[in-house]
Amino acid sequence: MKVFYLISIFSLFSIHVQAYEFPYETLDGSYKDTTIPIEISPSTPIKAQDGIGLCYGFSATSLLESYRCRELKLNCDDPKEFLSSLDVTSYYERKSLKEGGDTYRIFSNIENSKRKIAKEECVQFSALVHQMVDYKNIMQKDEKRGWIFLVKKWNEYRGIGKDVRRNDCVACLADEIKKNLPNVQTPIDQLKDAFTSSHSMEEFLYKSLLPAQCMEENKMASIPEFKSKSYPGYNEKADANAVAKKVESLLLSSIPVEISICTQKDFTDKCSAQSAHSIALFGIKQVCSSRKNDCRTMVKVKNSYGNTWQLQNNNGWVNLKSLADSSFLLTQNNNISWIEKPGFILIEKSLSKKSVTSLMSTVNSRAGGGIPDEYKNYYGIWKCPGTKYVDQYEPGCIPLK
Amino acid sequence: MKYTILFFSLLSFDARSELFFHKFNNGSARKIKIEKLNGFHVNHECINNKQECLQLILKPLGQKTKQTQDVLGNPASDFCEFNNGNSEILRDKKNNEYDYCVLKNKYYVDSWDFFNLNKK
Repeated sequence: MKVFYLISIFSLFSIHVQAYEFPYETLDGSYKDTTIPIEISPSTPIKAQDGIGLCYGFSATSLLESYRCRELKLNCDDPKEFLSSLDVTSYYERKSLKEGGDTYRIFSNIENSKRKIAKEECVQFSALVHQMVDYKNIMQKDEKRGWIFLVKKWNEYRGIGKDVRRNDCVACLADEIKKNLPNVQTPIDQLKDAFTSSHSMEEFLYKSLLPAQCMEENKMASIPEFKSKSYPGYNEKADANAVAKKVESLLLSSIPVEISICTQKDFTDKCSAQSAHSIALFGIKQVCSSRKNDCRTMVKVKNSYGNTWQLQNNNGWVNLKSLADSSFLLTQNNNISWIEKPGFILIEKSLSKKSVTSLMSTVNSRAGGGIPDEYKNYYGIWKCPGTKYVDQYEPGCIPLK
Repeated sequence: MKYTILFFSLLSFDARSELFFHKFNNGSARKIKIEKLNGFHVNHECINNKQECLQLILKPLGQKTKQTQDVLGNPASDFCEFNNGNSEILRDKKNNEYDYCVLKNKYYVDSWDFFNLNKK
């Protein structure tokens, strides 16, 4: 009986085990912050991509939103400023929506366009997910998700797979979409046109999910001019350490970064099929464990797996090395991508790493340090009265810039 | 093991609650009261019918995950769909989004809670 209760109690505390230790290494509780966490702002709230493979578009959206809010001094918490993830994703292959893709290509294509993106308030991604009107009559598995429902209607129209061709009644198909996806605002005429004018399923998805009224230029958001970057390029060679260093420099320059990672290894330690994922990085800090005599660089992940994922994974703080390593299981080029202001020159920067032995003095200093609010995010050398320079804040000192 | 969790779930109830909003394009919003039932974030209907709701949460259908087929999307959402649930994206007051799995009889459970419990 005692064993029963012990197991029971253990099981209660083990409900919230991490979904994936790989590649999101969150480290144990013995690791403490040894630098002030730097979190890049502005940043929009955490989004959820549901089961649809548009992670690369969500990462791109996050970075574009942050850039736009910063450059135009907008409030990124205001839903009116959110960009449509569907429209951003459609830049991967212009005017089509495809599961799986490359964030850098989205950036490049937007950079070379008029840089006008539909707003999320007009093209709500969540409307695509909530499509059920009657939960008591659960539909067939392959018809439940809005995205899949649309694909099925396209297949019916074209007579693809087991579906009997139904191109004789486009109005019937469009009507079925309106009935089953009541939250999608695309007008019925546009839906009908999407069937008859599309050359591929991806084009059909784009045309049926982005209502024409949301694509009028005066209703769209303008993105200030930017340059798209990625590392390593196709002519460059780099390893996980080089990518981690680049990420560090970018984040310390207040530039958020997208990284492509592998979420699952196979039994040979290679990346499993269909395990590619894309996440955005919005913060950096160092943590050390005096017990393990070990320090690590942690980055703040913004994952499109929804806010519960963030809360269950150390608020998104993950070991940078584990992400960089997993990225190289997936690809050798374009592991990271970002956007920057034209003319910006990236200078190599690194966190002023603390040794484990200085851990206690750092923590003690911070606890009673009284750092003025305007310097809370500053990490580096402080200039003090006279010719004194210190690496930890002391009253009367200012950041050395 | 799952019945042990069920046993304790029925004994203890965490009354902490939060409000989530379900926004539609027409501007209307539906409030869903989320409460915590031990490890799970669930809605009021689930709390009211604990036994039936927890049976659904603790006894997913056959295959646990479909990782080998498709992990392009959120694995917790995929798991929900695979188990005859319907995904819904809810928002908190700060507009952070959450994936919820809507099971039979409109029982809402956080998709990650559902996935983590059954993933092994």
